[in-house]
Amino acid sequence: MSSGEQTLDPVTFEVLKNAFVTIVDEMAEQILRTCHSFVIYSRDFSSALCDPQGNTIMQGSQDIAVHVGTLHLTAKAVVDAFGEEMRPGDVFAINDPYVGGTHFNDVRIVRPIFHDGELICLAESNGHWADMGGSVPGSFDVSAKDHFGEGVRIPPVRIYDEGVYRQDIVRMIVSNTRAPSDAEGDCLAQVEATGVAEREILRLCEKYGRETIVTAFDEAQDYVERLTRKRISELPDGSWETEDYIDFDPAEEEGLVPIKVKMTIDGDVVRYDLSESHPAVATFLNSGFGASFSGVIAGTKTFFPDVPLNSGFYRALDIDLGPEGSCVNAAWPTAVTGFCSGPYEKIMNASFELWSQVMPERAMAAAFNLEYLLVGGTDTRDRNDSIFMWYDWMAGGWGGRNGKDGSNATSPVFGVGLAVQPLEGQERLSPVVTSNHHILADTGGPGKWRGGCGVEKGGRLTEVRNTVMSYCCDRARSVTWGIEGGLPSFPHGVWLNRGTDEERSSAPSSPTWR
Amino acid sequence: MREILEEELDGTLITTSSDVLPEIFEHERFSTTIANAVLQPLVGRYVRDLESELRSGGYEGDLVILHSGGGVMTPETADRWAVRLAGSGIAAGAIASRHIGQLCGFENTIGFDMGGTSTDISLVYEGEARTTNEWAVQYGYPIRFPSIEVLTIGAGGGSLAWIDEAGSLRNGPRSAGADPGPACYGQGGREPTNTDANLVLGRLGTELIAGAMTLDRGRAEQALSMRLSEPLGLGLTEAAEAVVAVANANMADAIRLISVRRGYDPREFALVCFGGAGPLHGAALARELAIPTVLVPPNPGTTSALGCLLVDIRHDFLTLLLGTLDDVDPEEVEREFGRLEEQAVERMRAEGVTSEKVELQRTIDMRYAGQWRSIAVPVDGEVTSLDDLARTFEDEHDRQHSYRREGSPIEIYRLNLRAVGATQKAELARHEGQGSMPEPIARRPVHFGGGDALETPVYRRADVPAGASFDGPAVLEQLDSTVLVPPGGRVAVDEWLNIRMTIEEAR
Repeated sequence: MSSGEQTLDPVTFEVLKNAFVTIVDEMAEQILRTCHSFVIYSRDFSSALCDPQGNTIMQGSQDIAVHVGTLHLTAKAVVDAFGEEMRPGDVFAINDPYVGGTHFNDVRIVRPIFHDGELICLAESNGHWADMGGSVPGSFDVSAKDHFGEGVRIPPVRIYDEGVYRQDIVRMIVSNTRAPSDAEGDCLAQVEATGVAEREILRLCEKYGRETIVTAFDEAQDYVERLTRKRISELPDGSWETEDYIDFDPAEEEGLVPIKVKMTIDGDVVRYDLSESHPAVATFLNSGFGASFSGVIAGTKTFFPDVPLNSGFYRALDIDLGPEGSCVNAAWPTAVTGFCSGPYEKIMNASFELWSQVMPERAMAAAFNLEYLLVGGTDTRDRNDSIFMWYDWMAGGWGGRNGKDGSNATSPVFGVGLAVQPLEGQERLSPVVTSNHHILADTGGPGKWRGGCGVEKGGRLTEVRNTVMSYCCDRARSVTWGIEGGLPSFPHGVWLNRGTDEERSSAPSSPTWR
Repeated sequence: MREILEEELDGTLITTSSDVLPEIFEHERFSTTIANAVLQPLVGRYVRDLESELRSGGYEGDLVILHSGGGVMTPETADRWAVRLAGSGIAAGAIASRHIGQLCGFENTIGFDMGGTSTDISLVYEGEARTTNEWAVQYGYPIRFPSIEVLTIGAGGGSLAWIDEAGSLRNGPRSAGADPGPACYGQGGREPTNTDANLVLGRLGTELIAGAMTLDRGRAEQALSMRLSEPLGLGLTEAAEAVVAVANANMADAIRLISVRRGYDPREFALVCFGGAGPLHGAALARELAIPTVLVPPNPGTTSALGCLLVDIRHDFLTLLLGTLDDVDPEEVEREFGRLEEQAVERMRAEGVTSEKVELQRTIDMRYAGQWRSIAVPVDGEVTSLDDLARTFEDEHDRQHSYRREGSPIEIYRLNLRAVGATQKAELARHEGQGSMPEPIARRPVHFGGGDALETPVYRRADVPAGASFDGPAVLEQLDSTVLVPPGGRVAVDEWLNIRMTIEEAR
C-alpha cells in the first residue's frame, strides 16, 4: 500500500482518474451491445478495475450497488486461487457466494492485465445470468434448503488459457443451466468487456508509462479514502443502533427474525457491528459475508453521494459481521439466493435510519423491498417446447425525505440503475399477457413527508405447461417503517388465481407454487 | 381511433404511436409519441409563421426543414412528425463536418464542435455520418428515430475549473455560462474557466469579436491564482496549463468513446474543428489522439448552421421481421422491402421528389439469436439468399466486438429502408490564389504547454488568402473564433479558405 501522499501531479491524476471511470463505463456499454440475457440487458450487471491484490480501483458511473461492494472480494478469490499462475491472455470465471460473491446467478469474469509480462491490474465484469440450474427456472428457489437446490457453484476457474478459449469448461458450466446458448453468449459478452478494459489500460501504459499508471491505481484509492475520512471526521462521534427483521423463519414457526445493526462514528472511521444478528434461516433469505458487506457499503454511500466508490471508501469503514453461521454471514452450504430481498436490503434500510439521525438534513426512511417474481416452465408457443423464464422485478416507493416526499414507482435499493422492463419485451420472450401495471395510490407510509407509492402489476399466463412460480420478497409482516413519526407503508405481497377470477391464494412471504 | 377523435374533437391535433413509431417497446414508443404531441403545436405554428414571413418578405423558393436523421423534409411533414426536429441542430454540425471533410478529400471525419458550455462530437465514416436509434432528450426520455449520433459532454469555454475537497483538480461539467461568464469577462465571475486559462496562456487575445469585447487578463489571473495555483502550489502558467490539459483530456476521452471504442482508428480520420472554442483546442486533441490532420472551416462559429444547407430530403422506413436465418424466406424479405419502397416513393412524391430522383438504401438489422442489440448490414440489390448477409454480419460483429460465435444461429430483427431525394446544395465560394502570408498584426508570448512561452505571430484570419501556407506557432484571430497553430503544426489554406493543419506525431 502506498503512503497516502499524492505523488502524481494534479493534472495527470485527474486525467487518469477520469480515464478509469470511462474505461469501466466502456465495459458496461460493451456488455449492452452483445449480451443475451434480458436480465443483463435491463442493466443487472456491473464492472470494475481491481489492483493486483484485488482491491477495487474504480467502479463505473451506472453500476449496480449490490455488486460493486463485492467485486473486490471475488477478484481476491481469483488471485488467491491462481496467484503466480495467472498469465497474459488468461480469463477466469467465478460466482461463489461463500467467498464474497452475491448469489449463483451473478457470474463474474475476471481478466488479469499484464504489461510486459507484469501483472498490473484486473478487469472484472459481473452479469446476472438468467438461469444457473438448480430446482426452479431462473434459480430462485425460495424454499431451497441449501446451495444444491439453488444452482451451479463456480469456484475460480480458468476459461481462457493464454488466449485459448476453454470451451469444454464453459460448456460444462452452461450445460447445467436452462439456457446454455444464452449463458455462453453472456459469458463471451463479459469476456469482451474485460478485453476492452485491457486494451485501454495498455494504451494508458504506453502513453504515461507503467509506473505512473500503477501509482494512479493506488492514489485513486488513497484519494477516495482521504475524502471519505475527511467527511466522517466532520460528523459528531457517537453510537446509534436499530434492527430490521426477516418476516419469519419456517424452522422456528413464529416470530420476526432480527438483523441488528449498530453504528459508531469514531473520529474518521465508521464502525459497524452486526454480530448480534439471528442465526441463518431455513429459507434462501440469507446472505454471505460479501453481500452483507455490500449492504453496509451501499447504505453508507447513499449519504455520501458525490464520493466515488472504490476500496479507499472501504478502508474508512470497519465492519464486524460476527461469527459464521448467522443470516448475515452464512456459511456453505446455506441457501443465499434471496439475500437481495433479505439481509442486503434490511441492512441498507437499517443504515438509512441510522444515518438519518447523524445527518437529519439528508434523512430518508426505508425504501421498498426487492420484489422478484419468477415464473418458468414449458413454452407451448414454441414447437420445440422450450423453457421460458418470465423474470420480473417490480418498481416501488422510496422512503420520505426531510423536506420532500419519497420517490414513487422507481428502482429498488438493489441498484438504482436497474431499468423497469418493457412489457412488450417480456411478452415476446414469455407466454404472458400483462393485465395491468399501475401506481397504487396512498401505499407509501403517511406522514408529513410521505413515502413513495408502490405499483401493482398483473399478468396472465397463456400457452404454458409445468409452470413454477417463485416470489422473492420479504415485507409482508416486517413492513417498511417510518422515521421521525412517519408511519409504515402498505405490505408487499402476491396472489395467484388458478383458472378463475374469484379464487385467490395469497402468500405471507416468499412462496413457491407449482 | 384517430378518425373518431378527429371527428369528436374538432381542431385538436391527434398524434398516434402507430403513425409516429410503429415499433416494439412501449416506453420508447410512448415517449417518442408524447414528444411528438408536445412539439406538434409549437412546430406547426412556428413553421407556418416562418413560411408566411418568408413569403411576405418576397422569398419564392421552397422551405424545407432539417431533421435529426440528417435530411430535410417539407413543412407538411414536419408538422405531422414534429419530433423528428428534436436533436436536428447538433446533427447539422455533423453534416457540416462531413461536407468540409469531403471538400478536403477526407471520407472519414470526426466533428469537434466546442462552444461556451458544451462540446458535440460526431463521426463520419466512409462519407456516412453514424446514426443511432438509442438516444434520449433531456431527463432521459428516449426518441427512437434513426438520428445522427452526437456525443455531448459538459466541456466548453465557460466550464469551471475547481478543486474538490480531497484536493484534486476538476474541470466542468458546471459552467459559468454567459452570465456571469468567465472571470475575464468582468461581469462578476470569480471562478476560473477554460477561457480564463487560454487568456492567461496567451492563446486567446484580450480582444474578441474584432474588438467588440475586451477580456480582462488581470481578473483571469486573479481567479486562477486564488482558486487554483495557490491551493495546488503551482505557478500561474502551470495552473492555466493544468486547466486546459484536464479539459482536453476529458474531450479526448469523449472522442475515444465514439471512435476507438466503436472500432474506428482515429489515425484514419481528420478532425474538423468548429464552434467558437473548437479551433483553439483542436490541435492539442489531434496530437493526443494521433489524428494526423486538423481542418478548420472559414467561419467556425456558424459552421453548424452551414450544415443545414448541405442536405438532401431523407426519410427512414422500417418494418420488424423476426426470425432465424433458417426460418426466414428470402422472398418474404424481398417482398417486405418492396412494400417499404412503395411507402418511400409515395412519401417522396408528397415531398415533391419524383421517383427517378429517389435513391433507396436497404439495411437489415441482424444479431446472434438471443442478443438484444443488432448490427445493420447493408443490402445491395435484390435479396435472393441470406448467406452473404450472414457472412457480412459475422465479419462486422468480429470487427466491432472482437469475437464471433461460430455455428451459432443468426437472427434477422428488422428491415430498414432509407430514401434520399437529392436537392440543390449551397455552393461555397472558391478563391483563386497562390496567396502569400500577410504581415502579422501583432506578436505575443504564447504558452503551448511544458516550457517557456514562444513569441508567436498573430494574424487576422480574413487577411490570410487561399493558397497561403505557414508553420506554427501562430494564432489566427477572427470574428467568431481563434485558431491556435502549435509548434509542429503545418498549415495550408485551400481554395474554400479552410485551414488544413497537419500535426507532428504525438510525442
